Amino acid sequence: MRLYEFEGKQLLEKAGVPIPKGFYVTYSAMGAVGADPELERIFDELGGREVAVKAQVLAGKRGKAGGIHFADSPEALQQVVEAMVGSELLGETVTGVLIEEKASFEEEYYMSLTYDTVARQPVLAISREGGVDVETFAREHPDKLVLRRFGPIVGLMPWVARDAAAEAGFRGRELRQIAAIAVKLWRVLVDNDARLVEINPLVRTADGLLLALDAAILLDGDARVRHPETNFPPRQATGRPLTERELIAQAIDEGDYRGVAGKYVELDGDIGMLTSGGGGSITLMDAVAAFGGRPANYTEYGGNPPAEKVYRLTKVVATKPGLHGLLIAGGIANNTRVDVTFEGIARALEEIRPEYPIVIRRAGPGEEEGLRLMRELAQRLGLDMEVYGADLPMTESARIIVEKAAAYRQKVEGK
Amino acid sequence: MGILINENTRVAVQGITGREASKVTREMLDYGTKVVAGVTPGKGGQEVHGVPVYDSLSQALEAHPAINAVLTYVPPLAVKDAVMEALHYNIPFINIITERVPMLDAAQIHAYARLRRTRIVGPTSVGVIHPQARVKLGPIGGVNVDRVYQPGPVGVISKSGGMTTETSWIIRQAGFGISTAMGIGGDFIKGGNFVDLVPMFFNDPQTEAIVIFGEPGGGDEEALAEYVMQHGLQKPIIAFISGRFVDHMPQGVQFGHAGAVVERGMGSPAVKMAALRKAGVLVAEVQHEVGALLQEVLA
Repeated sequence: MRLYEFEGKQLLEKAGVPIPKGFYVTYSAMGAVGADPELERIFDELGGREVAVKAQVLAGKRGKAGGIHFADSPEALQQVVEAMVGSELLGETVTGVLIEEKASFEEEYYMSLTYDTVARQPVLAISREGGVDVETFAREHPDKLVLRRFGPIVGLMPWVARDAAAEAGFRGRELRQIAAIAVKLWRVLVDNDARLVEINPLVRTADGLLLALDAAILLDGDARVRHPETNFPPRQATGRPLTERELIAQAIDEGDYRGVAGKYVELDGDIGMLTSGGGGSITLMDAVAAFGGRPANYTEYGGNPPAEKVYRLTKVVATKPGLHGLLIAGGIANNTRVDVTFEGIARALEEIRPEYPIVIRRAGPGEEEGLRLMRELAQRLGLDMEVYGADLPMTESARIIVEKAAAYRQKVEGK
Repeated sequence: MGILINENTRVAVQGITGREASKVTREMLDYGTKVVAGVTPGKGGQEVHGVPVYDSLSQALEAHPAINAVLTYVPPLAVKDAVMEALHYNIPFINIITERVPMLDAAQIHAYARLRRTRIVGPTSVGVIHPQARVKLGPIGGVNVDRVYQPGPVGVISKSGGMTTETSWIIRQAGFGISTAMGIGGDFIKGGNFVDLVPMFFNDPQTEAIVIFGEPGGGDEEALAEYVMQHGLQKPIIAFISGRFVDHMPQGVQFGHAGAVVERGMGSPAVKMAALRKAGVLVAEVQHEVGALLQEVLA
């Protein structure tokens, strides 16, 4: 889970990393007619000087996209905030802004902690060149970004942080300041089970203090249950609000932990995908694309969900307007019952009675009963359906549905 | 001889009294695996399908000193404790089936396993199977194991659990059997990476070719390519990397497994495929092409 800047800064502050004074303003606080006394108060609290207004979005490179503005009066602040809240930025609707004192600084540095997945260790990154696009910078000047891996059981020892800071070119008091912040970042990573903690830029102010001007934190979704104290509201990572269908799908798994059937991402193709298993679903998406087809959605059900869940998912997938084909496929299941899940699919298809072609390929526990159920359904309702078991390689089913969907598209568009 | 497991393997199942663990224990016993003990704290004295349950691994080891493999099936937040217990007793092979283990725990487990020189496969592993000795750990192969898994010359290493069996099935349809197949999980940090396991298949006399199933995210495939460049392609490797369509999706969207997150442009399937091809690995464009490629190299 990605955190907004203002949420990330709360975690930094809790660990003792200095941040600029600021206030988060949400959409619900807006809508005042005339001068907003709340914004006037914020402007005064921030010293009555120029303030920065930063759009709170999850996407990176916000500054370049016009997500940061400055205001030197309460009136200007209100103008900026009103223009920003509710606007679209990098595919997201801005629902809140962070208003901060405008920090004057002399240097911009970079610091982050994350995991190196090849070394399988945490890694500290420090550079004297911050405020830049760090990916590009690290590629062009690898010598100016110091990477230091360390053991996750002992953790980040101050001496390791000092070594890294020295190698990055820090000296004197600043070397100790940088190392101290690095050790605090390690506490942020461990205490919150984060996968990434990044400060870019970490600035040095005129009076020699270090300040985190931005914060990018990625929390480990697998560890949320051991952090009931930081209960961040759920958010979508697609860079756009959830569609109506995605919202309906999301509700499928709520309150029922038997298997998973609520993952659904709406795309703009015309082949409905009712696929199972994480690896299998992705492989089938690739195969449909490789054969020239365009998936209308992504989904993956698995973990042996009950028929009712798969019924509801089928209703979401198979009723999307503009479908020219439906692929119901998966690998040879180790665990998920084919008969049970297909019972849910069959019930939904009986209600929908699709005219577009359907291709099925599935194997696993209860496969004979499951496939027989579908063949009977096709015959009874006169569906254009091909049913395959393990004999057909899974990804061959993608080729067949792409061909059949193309033929069907021609037929309906030729009318 | 199989990789990591063989006819001498004696298994203790951590969390054996759980619903899934108990079901899988039945499947393992039916296949021929020697499951000699189970561990669930507080349930010592019970039996699961005739397998005695102990309160601790130390008690299990006292009664069954031959235990040389541990199958970890405990809930995600209990995995670190369970694996550390197994590492403490120097169990030479630990297979973690549990999904959704926190990354910090996985990193700490890996660090300690390295100190203890223990092999770990997982978290999020579907298990390991060696058909020649009829031994399997974990749910791999499900109830109809023999349809897919017959002894033969091909090794399989897959990040995806479900696709471990599908890949092995493609191999069987191409006319070949399996030396050892394993699901290593798609987590960013795991005990067994491609680069840890491929050398074991290189050294395995039964294995003549290796098929790997990769996924977006992380740097496992790139690290394998580098290893092969340095140490040579000692046996043919055929790879399929899933998730190319993810390259066209907004960044940060999570598809499939935890590891299948494309963060910051790293670990994209296109990059992995290019690196592997450069190292001499045969890369299939569509998954079922693995069969034809295998027929070419083993002809």
